[in-house]
Amino acid sequence: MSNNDKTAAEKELAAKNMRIAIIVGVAAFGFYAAIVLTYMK
Amino acid sequence: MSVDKLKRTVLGLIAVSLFLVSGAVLAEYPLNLTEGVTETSHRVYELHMIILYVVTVIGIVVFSVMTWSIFHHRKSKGAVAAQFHHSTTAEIIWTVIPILILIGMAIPATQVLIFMEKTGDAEMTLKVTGHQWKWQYDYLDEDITIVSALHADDRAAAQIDSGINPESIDNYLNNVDNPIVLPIDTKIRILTTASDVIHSWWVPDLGWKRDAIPGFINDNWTNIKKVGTYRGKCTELCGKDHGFMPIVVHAVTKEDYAVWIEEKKAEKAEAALGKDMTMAELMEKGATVYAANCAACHMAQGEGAAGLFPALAGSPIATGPAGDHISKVLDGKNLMPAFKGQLNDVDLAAVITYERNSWGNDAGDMVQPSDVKAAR
Amino acid sequence: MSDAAVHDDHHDHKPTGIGRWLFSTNHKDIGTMYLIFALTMFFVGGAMAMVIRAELFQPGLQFVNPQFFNSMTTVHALVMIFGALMPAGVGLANWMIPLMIGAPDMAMPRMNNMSFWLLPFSFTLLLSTFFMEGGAPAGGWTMYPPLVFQLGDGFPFLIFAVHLLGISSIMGAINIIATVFNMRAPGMTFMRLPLFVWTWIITAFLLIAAMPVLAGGVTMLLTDKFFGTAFFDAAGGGDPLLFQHVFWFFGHPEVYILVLPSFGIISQIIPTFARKPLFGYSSMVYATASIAFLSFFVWAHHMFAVGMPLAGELFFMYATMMIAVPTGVKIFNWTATMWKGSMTFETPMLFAIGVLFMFSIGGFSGVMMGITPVDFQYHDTYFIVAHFHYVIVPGIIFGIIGGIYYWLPKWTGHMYDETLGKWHFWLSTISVNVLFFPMHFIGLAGMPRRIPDYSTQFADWNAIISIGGIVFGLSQLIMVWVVIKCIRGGEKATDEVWEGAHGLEFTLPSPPPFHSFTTPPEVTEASAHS
Repeated sequence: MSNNDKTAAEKELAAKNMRIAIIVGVAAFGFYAAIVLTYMK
Repeated sequence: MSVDKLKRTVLGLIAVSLFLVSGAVLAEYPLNLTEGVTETSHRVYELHMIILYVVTVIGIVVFSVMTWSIFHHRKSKGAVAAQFHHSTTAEIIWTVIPILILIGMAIPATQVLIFMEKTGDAEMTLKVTGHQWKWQYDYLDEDITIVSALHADDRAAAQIDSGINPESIDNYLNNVDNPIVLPIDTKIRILTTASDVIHSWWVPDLGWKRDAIPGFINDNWTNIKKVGTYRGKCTELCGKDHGFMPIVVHAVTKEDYAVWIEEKKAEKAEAALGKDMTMAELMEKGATVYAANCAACHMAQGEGAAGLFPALAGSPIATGPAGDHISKVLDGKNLMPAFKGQLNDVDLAAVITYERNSWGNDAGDMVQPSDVKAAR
Repeated sequence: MSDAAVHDDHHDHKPTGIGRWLFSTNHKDIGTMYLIFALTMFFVGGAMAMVIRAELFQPGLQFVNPQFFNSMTTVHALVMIFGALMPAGVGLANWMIPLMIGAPDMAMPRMNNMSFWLLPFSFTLLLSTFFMEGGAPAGGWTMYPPLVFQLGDGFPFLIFAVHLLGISSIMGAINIIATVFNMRAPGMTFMRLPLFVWTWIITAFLLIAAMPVLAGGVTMLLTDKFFGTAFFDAAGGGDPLLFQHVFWFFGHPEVYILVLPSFGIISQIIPTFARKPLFGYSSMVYATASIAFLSFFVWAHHMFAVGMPLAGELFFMYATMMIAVPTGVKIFNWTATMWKGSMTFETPMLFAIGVLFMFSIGGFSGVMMGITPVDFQYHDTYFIVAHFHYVIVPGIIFGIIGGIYYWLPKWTGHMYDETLGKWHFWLSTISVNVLFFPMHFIGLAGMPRRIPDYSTQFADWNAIISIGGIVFGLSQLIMVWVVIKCIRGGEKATDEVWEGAHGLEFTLPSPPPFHSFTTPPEVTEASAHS
């Protein structure tokens, strides 16, 4: 279904899901970058 | 599988099902840690047995409760389910009791560990260097170096379709060409390091193992209490022949040790003279040196291993000018180690001569110890 | 409740053909694909174990050369851990978490599809190294430098395979976190979540914290090999031990990533067949969280033999021993759940009880190895091989198999063949002990691990171990047969499936409609924890 078919509640849920995904994804990538950069001489 | 083997296997299957009740230790079925021959190994063994008994008792108690429950609280016996699902008292008890048991185990463990780490005031120092796939021992106080690799008989047997029954070799895979000799009743500092990849030096009778790491020197000690031969293995995966680089320690009295040191010094002086040898002498010694140092990769007949290690039979190096051949062996290349630190001039001259005149290679020339000395 | 399920049926249309699977965004189909992939890899890794056991059946070299043997041990571990265990756990999570929390699907269905489809590509990269110059990875699954640098053309393939696996796991973890945080049915509070969901949410956080560390470690390997850096090269000012610290900082939490879902599964199974609520629900949750937290402070117990300062050795010894406390709490809680229950012993319950007993054995040897001075003897011998196989095979794999039997009727709508299931359990249990118990003995007696040939005093035990291995491997074919048979037909399963079963998944029909809980159910205190 296209975005237009979604109810307001569904849109809000999708936004909440995306927010968690971004926060957790950035944290994971941050760990990765941190571990490499820490030991880079 | 022979009938005999089958019979023993069946017996073993019975033994495994009875191991808890029987407790009988059959010679073919080793079961436990060695007590060893040092104070460290004795203390480690005692600690091991204490913990083993503790966990066995806990196991029997916990498993008994489970088993009781399985047999008595079953629906087929008409058990009706109780509906309790919480008990603070019970949960506190089974949190606190394990903590107390663990503290009880941590105290002796800490004591033994502190004892093991006292590396000071040693009377002599042995530096152990792991190479793929042999051990080099430097007696730092005596300026003697021993390189110790799997014995040629064991290597010959440890090949696919070798046709040699491993049972026909005493201490199969635990024999070396040059065992090391150490004095008893002497606090010996043992330094471990490596030249290529990480190895780990372990003689169970001494009570510990320690990694040998390139670029690091690890500090350990031992004090052997009993004359005897003690065997060990490399215990850190170090490539193809990780399983084939054993350790053999002859522990002897201080007097015998002094005699052995003198012998080794005399041998070294002899080799340093750089006396010329005959073709026969070179070929004979070369065969031994080759088996111990080269055959692991270049194989017994110099055929190498496709894609991994080049063949020596018919190779341009082994059939070309001797100078190139000498420098390749001295300095190594890629995976091949530099042998100049591991072998003396006589050994090097012999093995190079051997490689140039074996398996159809017919350079015909001899490389003398003096040639190697000049090339260093 | 069943009204809602029936109501779903009218738009229960499935896509058809290969596209149903390739482009699937349905949590059930993706869960099925994960499980099939895991089962396939279980047999691929198992075949490698058979090569290892065949070679070790007798002393001397009979079948494979030492280099290939090392590839077998290395790739066996990688395939089993990353190809069989983790995907099986994620597959069960995909299938069950939405059903257990009353959600219509996972939070991000398209990402769910991608995290699955990365796996076949990753394993194609990894397994293709067998056909390359220099062969497959042979330096151990731990990939320690400098040995790992001796790998030939396969090296970058190994690294990228691990990277893809890491990305896949992290996306899976993000999805699970978002699903549990945002998509719980009304009334499904955190402290009403089924234990399986709790263990998975904690696992997901472990994945987020641990997998990037592994990715960082292998990236450093890659740049050391190809771009002239010297993270791990002592000659260039680096430190070969740094990799071991980085690896085990990932590696120890990884152990709990594997084991916690299994703990969750048996926390579902035991109350069902004891017909009694789980004992100490909240202490189970806290114990799981403590285990996960402590797992980040014990990594160096994998490397006591490298030579650490005394203070470090003591710290890691004490921290490791502390993990025994929450783990003990879990074992005691499960036992208390069975206590005064009204138990029946269908196959899932048998496997759960198997976990209880045999995971404990692995726990005991774990405590022994946590004691630093004795670990100097145990380290890198068959004692450790016995320990982690007790934890992984009868601890984790038995838990997963128990979960499969437990939910199989729910998935397929048919009861499985109970007789065959019992055969599977008893053959597996007997053979797994013949296979792994004697490894304790030969390890203590001095047989190092990862060796293709051994001294003759170990010959008899090794022959017995190999026989146990073959029987265990063949026994697993029974499970395949049971699953196929169950998919094709059988006695019709009820919605509840098991007499004592509770939880939202058992309010749906068996099999559940393709789209379930499109209208969220209401959860009350009484319907949660009963």
